[in-house]
Amino acid sequence: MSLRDPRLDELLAGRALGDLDAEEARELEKLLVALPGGDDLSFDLTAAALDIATLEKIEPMPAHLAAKLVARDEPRIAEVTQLPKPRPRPPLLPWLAAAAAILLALFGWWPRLSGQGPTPSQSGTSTTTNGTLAATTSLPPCPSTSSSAPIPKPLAAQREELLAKAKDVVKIDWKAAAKEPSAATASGDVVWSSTEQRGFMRFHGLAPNDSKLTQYQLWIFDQDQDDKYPVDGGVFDIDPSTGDVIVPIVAKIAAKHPKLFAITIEKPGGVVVSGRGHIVLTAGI
Amino acid sequence: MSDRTAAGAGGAARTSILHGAAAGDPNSVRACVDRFGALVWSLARRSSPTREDAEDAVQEVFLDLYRNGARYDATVASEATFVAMITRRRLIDRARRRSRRLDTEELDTEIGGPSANGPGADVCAEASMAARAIADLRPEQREVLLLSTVHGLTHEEIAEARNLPLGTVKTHARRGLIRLRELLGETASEGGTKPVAAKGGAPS
Repeated sequence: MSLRDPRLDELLAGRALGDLDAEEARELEKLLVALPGGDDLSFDLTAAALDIATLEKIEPMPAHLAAKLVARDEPRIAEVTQLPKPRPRPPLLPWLAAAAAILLALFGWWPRLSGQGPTPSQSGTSTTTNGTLAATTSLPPCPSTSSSAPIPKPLAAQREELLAKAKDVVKIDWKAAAKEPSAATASGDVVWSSTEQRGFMRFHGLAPNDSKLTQYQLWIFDQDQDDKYPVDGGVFDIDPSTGDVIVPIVAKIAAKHPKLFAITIEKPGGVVVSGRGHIVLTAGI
Repeated sequence: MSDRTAAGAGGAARTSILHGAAAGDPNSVRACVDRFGALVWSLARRSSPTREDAEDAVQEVFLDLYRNGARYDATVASEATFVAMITRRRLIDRARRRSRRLDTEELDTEIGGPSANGPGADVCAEASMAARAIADLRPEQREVLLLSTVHGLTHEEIAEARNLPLGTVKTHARRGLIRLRELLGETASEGGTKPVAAKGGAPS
């Protein structure tokens, strides 16, 4: 692998990302002709793995579309026979096994989508009131070793379990930002385990938000990361009718050594990089 | 996976939903839509400006899958990975076509933004592994890749948003993907994953 032409890798990466210009595409074509084993799809598959790993919401395909796809199959059958045969592949690369494992694990639950369980698209919010998991809050579940869909525990119970079992769990109280009206009466805490890569936030008295106008967003500042790029912990809402709220922490990327959790108010859907102009709460380790 | 029959390393024929669908087997076609419909739809929704556009994209992706399903090789990747790769290529192609024409369509308001309906508390260990690999990228590489992948920004848009030369954005993205490929390989070499695809005696 070390003997590979770095330019080839760069061009393959560019192809996977869809950013090759015409000249580069021609250059890649020439290099691929000379590549033993034919085309190398490993970059395309890596990009596909990235796509799936960063999907934040899996929703079932609309029924009418699925029906259309199945129904339109008949006239298509006749045209699928003139495909070139697969070219011999280079030996299986270890990373492909990793990608396959990740993706199979992530999506082993697909068939269950057509079952009776609640679907992600029905989810209204990831927060719960008083720790009670709403019936429609079913997000992409972890792969289960059993064939039945896992029944999630209420968030309060999950939080307690994490506190009891995770060896590295930390619990930090929120501190309201000075002169921040949204957090004037807010209290609560953050529970986090770096080994488990999960945690929960509890809020009491945090001002409700209108999700059409603003959303709360969590940021995790990690010792291993530049402070300019805190980990996005996801957005959440505080419903006007709620009292105590528990919000699961969904870090978009791993936070190995968090040092500070911060809540900001952002536009609906959150932002990629916060302007940090509206910090509401912080919890430092 | 029950739908995959691993064979020896000699490239013997393998059966799969994708092979069946490519051969026109109606049950495989139905299974293909059932199993991969949610993945393809979700990827298409993330990258498409409107719901209607996503529906069109999904139909094109499944046609691609039926046409190219025979190329699927279980020793190289899982079916899901293959499907995501085909989907990605089609979506890139559609984005290119869109960029070539004057776009007067109104965009869905929710496009590109992360959803409140994220994976919730059920963050899978395997997903965390992938996330860790992303976290190990250099910040500038990670940011460009995530802006491109999650938020669907073009490199030109990223360059403009981050006030970077386009060439720099391209370099960050490409080197980030190259590094990500290496990291996933390292993770597998360390035994962090079960080499599912090697079950059938595939060469390592």
